Amino acid sequence: MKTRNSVAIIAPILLMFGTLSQAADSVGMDPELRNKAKRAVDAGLHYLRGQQADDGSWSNSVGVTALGLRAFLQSHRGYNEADGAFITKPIAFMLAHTNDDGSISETNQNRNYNTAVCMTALAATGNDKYDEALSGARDFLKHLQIDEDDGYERDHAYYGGIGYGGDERPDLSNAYMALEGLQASATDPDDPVWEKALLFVSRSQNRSESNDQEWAANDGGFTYMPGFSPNGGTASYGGMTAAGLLSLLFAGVDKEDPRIQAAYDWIRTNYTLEHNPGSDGGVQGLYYYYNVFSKSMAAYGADILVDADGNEHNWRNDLAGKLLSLQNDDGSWVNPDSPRWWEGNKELVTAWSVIALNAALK
Amino acid sequence: MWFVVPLAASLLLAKFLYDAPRQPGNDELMVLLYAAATLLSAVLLTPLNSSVSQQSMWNLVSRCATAAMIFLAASLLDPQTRALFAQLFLASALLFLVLLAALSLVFAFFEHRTAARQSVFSLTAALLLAPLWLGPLAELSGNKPMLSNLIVGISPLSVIATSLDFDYLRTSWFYKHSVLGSLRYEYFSASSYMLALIAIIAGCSFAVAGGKFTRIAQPFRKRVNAS
Repeated sequence: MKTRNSVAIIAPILLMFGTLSQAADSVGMDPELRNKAKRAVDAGLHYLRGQQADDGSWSNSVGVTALGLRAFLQSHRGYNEADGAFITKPIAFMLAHTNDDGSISETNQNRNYNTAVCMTALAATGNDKYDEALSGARDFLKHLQIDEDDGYERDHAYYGGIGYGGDERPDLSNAYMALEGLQASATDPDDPVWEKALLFVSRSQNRSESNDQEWAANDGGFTYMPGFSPNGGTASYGGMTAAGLLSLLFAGVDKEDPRIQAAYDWIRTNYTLEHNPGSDGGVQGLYYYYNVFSKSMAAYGADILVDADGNEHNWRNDLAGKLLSLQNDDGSWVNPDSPRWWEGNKELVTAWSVIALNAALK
Repeated sequence: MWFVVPLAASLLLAKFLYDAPRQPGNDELMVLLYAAATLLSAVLLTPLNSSVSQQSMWNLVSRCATAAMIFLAASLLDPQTRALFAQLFLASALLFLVLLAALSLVFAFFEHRTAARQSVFSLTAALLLAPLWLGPLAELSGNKPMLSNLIVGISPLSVIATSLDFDYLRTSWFYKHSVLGSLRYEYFSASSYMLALIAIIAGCSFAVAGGKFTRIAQPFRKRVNAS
């Protein structure tokens, strides 16, 4: 009886200590840098505000508009629809491009990207008025997923993947964006879409224990799609590895799962924010990398990364410092070295950078 | 003047395609599409070195009947596939006519037919593969949308792809071999292509006709000048 009482007293104390110890382990951004990062976000949003068209869009693109809107909604300013037309107009612009099949896109190309980023932005409004649009978009993305309906069996490398939408070729980048949209719009965790996607995502990882493709190596990183990397062969690279890790988390895979651990180890051991590790020249898809890296590390719950040489890195500080150094005087960001994946578009890259900082600031 | 029949058919078809809904369902439009496509296919089945006027009536009727059979078989397809088939056929037919028109044009102005034919086919091949060899130019220019769209647009493959709503530059092979797949671009609309191709055919026809007129008129002018 005495022992039981002791346990009853000691256990909550230990629990409290445990919680305190966890809180102490959680390392955020340095306070001074945090303020600078917030100002950089403000400058980025100011730039975007200045570039917004009368109809509320950016770059006359549904996708860029959705990303711009998301940058505002998820910023430390906490903007919402009550703040005015600069928030409501882009929403109206996106919804005006809702198609009969549920997709939200102004073009046949990029239908997946556009629809997925619109879902994320609409979900970020927190307004259930858009549930119907989200439901239609969700159905569209699920329909886009390659499965038996398209004549593919489970053993096919494309199975479970999602592509641009204008063809049947899936890739991890499109799949990750789609999964982000599905996750943001609260798709049922038991929906088969996750399990199918998981198969495709696993087949994009260089991890032969969980990837049945012959080409699979064992560095734990991810490639662009099963059997192909734009950086040659099936080489893993930073942007896709962060996207792969995030996709696994979206699909409900436990953080301790060896697939996630292998991806995290790749990111850790190849850690750098000077370039997109593993990519051709390091400049291609650089801001895509910053964006997905920030979101993946925030979702994973990493604070300090230990690289291959045993050096510790506070990724939030590093990312904020890097993005601050790359910001233009007008508040924008752009990739001057490579226009691939639209990184020559200031509005897109600025939105991506603000979203990356938003994730790092949280 | 073998251009006249397909040209008239193409104009008729383009007129209706211009405002055609992307989703099929308009029966009248489909009837017109098939009628025009049948006419076009009959002409296309005609040997290249012959003109319609040189064919016997029976020969022409049999070709039309063959083409009609093809389209009758196509009518058994579901509406969406049928519409795609019709659009694909129209795009292919117009491209083929452009090729014939270009050949006629060079034949009319150059004496060395083999060299002329090779030049046309080389140009066609270069245009077909434009997204591959001109893609780096789009990247080096910083992905200017106008330039990227033009490079994509000049390829005959894009005409076919547009008719099918198919983004071929994002397919595995093209994505691996052309940088354009990772850049921002838009295909021209189907109606723009139709009008552009018809304009090319018409332009070539007038140029050929003008060239012939000049040659016909030349001896007459000489006689007039001599007298």
